[in-house]
Amino acid sequence: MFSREIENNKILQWALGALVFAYFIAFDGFIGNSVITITAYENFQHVCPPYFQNCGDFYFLYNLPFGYSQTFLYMMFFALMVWSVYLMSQKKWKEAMYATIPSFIWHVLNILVLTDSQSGNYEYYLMIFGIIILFLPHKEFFLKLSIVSLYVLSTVAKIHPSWIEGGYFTAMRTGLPVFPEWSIPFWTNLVIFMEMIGAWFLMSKNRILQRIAVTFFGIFHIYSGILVEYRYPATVLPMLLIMFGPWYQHTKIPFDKKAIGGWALIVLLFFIQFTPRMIEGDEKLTLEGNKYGLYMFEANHQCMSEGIIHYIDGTERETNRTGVSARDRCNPYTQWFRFNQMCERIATIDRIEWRFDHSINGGPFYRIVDVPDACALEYSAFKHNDWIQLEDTAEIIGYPVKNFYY
Amino acid sequence: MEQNLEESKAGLYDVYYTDTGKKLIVLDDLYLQSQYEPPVFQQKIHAHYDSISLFYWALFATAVIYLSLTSVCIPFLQSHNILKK
Repeated sequence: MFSREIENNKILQWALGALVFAYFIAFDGFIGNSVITITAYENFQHVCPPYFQNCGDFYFLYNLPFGYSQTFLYMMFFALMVWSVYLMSQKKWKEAMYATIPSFIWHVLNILVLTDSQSGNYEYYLMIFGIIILFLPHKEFFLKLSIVSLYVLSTVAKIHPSWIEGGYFTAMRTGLPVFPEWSIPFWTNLVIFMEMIGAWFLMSKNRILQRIAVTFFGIFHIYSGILVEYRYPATVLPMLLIMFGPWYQHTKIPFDKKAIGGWALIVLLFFIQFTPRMIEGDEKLTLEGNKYGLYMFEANHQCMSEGIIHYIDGTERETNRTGVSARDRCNPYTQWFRFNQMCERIATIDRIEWRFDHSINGGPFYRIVDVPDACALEYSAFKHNDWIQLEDTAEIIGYPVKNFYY
Repeated sequence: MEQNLEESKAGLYDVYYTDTGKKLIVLDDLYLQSQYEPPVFQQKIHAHYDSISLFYWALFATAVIYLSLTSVCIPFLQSHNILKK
């Protein structure tokens, strides 16, 4: 816990407050969401992480209007968060940290174990802040380094036409907020450069450079909220300002044995960020491994999934879906998982014929899946699945028009 | 530009062919009027994409290696008296 660090450090005390606030914002979204409920399991709506495909066996909640258990659980977390804030007001920092741990555990279970549907980039930020504030020593230094590292690592996903050419935004009807279409690649490349290089100056001893960096990222988070709304800035901006704002002081780099956990976390973050690159193919198109590491705004997606369910008695039923929002990731795994669940649990299904077409950044629609029987397929979490076609083998079946972000 | 009714699927997508024979797939909720053509600046960057992406990877590697050495490895070795200050 290393709660002594918090007792003696105003910056960490505020950071703990920001952490509880971030859990409040996160759970405000989770409380009404059905993705980890028994109802979702029964209706073939749940999606497990690719590395834990039987997560549905562990569901025990019902959301409104089907039952009270989920809202009951989240009100318990609400009470704990209020209790934690009260303890902070009484300067009982250790107890406040204990009161926050259940929120941390439930949040991690949600984003890494119980579903594939809630692992947004801001959840990764929150999880890392939680690990450092609640469990690691040298909290202030590693919080600062983690914020910088996450900016830097986010550029690994941005070295792609989506950002270098600005294709993500030019392929949308509404373009980039505020700025004209012709200037889009300039702004997207500025963000890449600042996240890759400018972010390091957040930890600089040079006060002017440090202030320029924190001002840039402060404006960046306010601006990004025009698209991503409150959730992302509410998670990152408070921590950014607490660590690098008016109270900023240069923190000495720790090299003692207690620092091993923090350094291991940073090295792990760098390793995980590169795992999608180790899987064959463009993860923006196949979505294989895309969520391992930061993937914020990796590509503008459009897709259509066309399935024909063939029943044993010879009848057929079509099940189709389109994705038109730029942020709708169009992951063939999601559709495969739902088909796979139907094949396993509905005895009258003989096979499911399936086609999946995917376009990124206004590029052609590639037919990346075209199989006579989705029931016969398996999905590997850490290597390329041969039944998903890559850009060089997939058939081009047409071209998209501009879409939206919502 | 005319809609190809045979290839279209009601409630899912409409298919059109341009005068040049390009097949447009307009998903439900989107509009034919908003055809996609990358801006000129983007097309210019696209022509040099490989060089630019290589530059970014080199910049990323240089920054990480330089900072790891100067801010972590060397100070670590110095603090343990393995390397002289």
